[in-house]
Amino acid sequence: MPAPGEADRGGHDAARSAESTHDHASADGTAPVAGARPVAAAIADLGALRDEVRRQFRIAAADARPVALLGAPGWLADGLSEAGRRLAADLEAAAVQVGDSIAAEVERLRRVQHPRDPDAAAAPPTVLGGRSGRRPPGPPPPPRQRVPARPQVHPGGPPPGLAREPELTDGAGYARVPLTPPAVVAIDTPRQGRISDCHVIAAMCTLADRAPGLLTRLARAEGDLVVVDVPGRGYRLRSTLPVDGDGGGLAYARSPDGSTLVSYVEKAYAVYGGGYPKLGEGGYPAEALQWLTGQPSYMLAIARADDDLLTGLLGSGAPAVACSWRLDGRASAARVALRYGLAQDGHAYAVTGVVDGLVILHNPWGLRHPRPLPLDVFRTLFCRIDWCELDDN
Amino acid sequence: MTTEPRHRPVQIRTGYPNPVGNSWVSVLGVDPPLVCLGVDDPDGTETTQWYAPGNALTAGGLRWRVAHTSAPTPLGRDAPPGAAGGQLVAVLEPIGRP
Repeated sequence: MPAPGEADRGGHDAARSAESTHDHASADGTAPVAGARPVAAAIADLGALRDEVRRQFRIAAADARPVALLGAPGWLADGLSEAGRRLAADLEAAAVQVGDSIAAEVERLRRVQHPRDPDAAAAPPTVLGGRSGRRPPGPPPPPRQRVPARPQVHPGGPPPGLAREPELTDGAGYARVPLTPPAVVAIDTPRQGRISDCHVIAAMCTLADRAPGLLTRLARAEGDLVVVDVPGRGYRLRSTLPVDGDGGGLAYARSPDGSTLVSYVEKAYAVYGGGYPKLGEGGYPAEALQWLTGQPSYMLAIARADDDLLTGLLGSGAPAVACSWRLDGRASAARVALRYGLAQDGHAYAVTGVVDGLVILHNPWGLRHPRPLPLDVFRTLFCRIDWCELDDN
Repeated sequence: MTTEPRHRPVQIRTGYPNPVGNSWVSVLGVDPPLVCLGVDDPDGTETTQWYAPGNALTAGGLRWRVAHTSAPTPLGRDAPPGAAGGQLVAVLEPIGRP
């Protein structure tokens, strides 16, 4: 059921999208799954390659086996037969070697899907896995974990078509503000306001960086209304935004150029999430990424990822948000966090990339961006990377 | 008689930059009774400092006194990002121009 004010457009697409987000890749890795998960697809491709290699080697080895050489002198036939036998043996050995290499690669990819590293059990608890108790059903938890269920939406609500104005935090009120798109969308376009919804704004920041066109297309004015269209859902909003009681400036998300696109996208997310106070309770960037893009979104537990996987993801260009640990009672880690300009609360940062082995992050506050972090420091201070796929379009 | 906004005490909360005049004050750490505050002025000046109740700081072109501080409610380490936001950790009272 769509939330109040959500017009459930393309329900099949939305269902398909949600399904592909929550499905695990094929356990035996022999066939790509719906949604074309990259690891499962790679495993399937490697399986096909392994079969093809075996077939080709079998043909080649059969061709090399001794054949009756009609009319050939005995010494020549014997020599060729011996050479053929050696060639066939070499081909078979090579076939085994190539097959083993492919099998090892498949096994490595399966470990990425379903890690069984005993060290992982000793790793710090993760949000939805590890020792915290809540695990997705099915096979052992992979480093990418399920997107949690969407938050409770308000019961009841306005008639379909027009969203109820989301509840505000204390000191804010609604004022008419037209939708104005930004001239240029960049990572700095979305900025967090006076509410603790870093998970949403950081997701918008990374999208603004990695897929700026996508963010621009989300909202449009329609008469007196503003329509926010995200994959599978549409929100018809009054053209009002929360403003501060004091000065009348925008209370929550804003842009440095004064455009209001991100404010309206945040408002639609507040409708989806059950009001601004709910957004201020924090949340999962993976959920925001999926809501914004309709694409499969994942959570990578940093403690369970090796350096190659980590730097590969951080530098991949996929929209990604890094989530920092809460550092209560960890004085030494808190000192390191301060040295790198990180807040001690669990906070979400948009990932910019990896440069010379240093992780570059963007603070959705629009200020206080962390200093570039060496990978080992990043591992200490961050618990998770939430990311999503983007299709080629 | 009402007080001008710039002469009112300002609550400083965790999780987002708090507007103080034309500056932003962010909570970067709490070690009760100390709070680590970051002040970002519009000209790009940025300071990070630990403050105890009674200490003074400059933000938004005014001097402020840290009237009192408080510890945020502890949360589990696995709380989602932003969950610790919105908690009052300091109150600043204006004490005049620098």
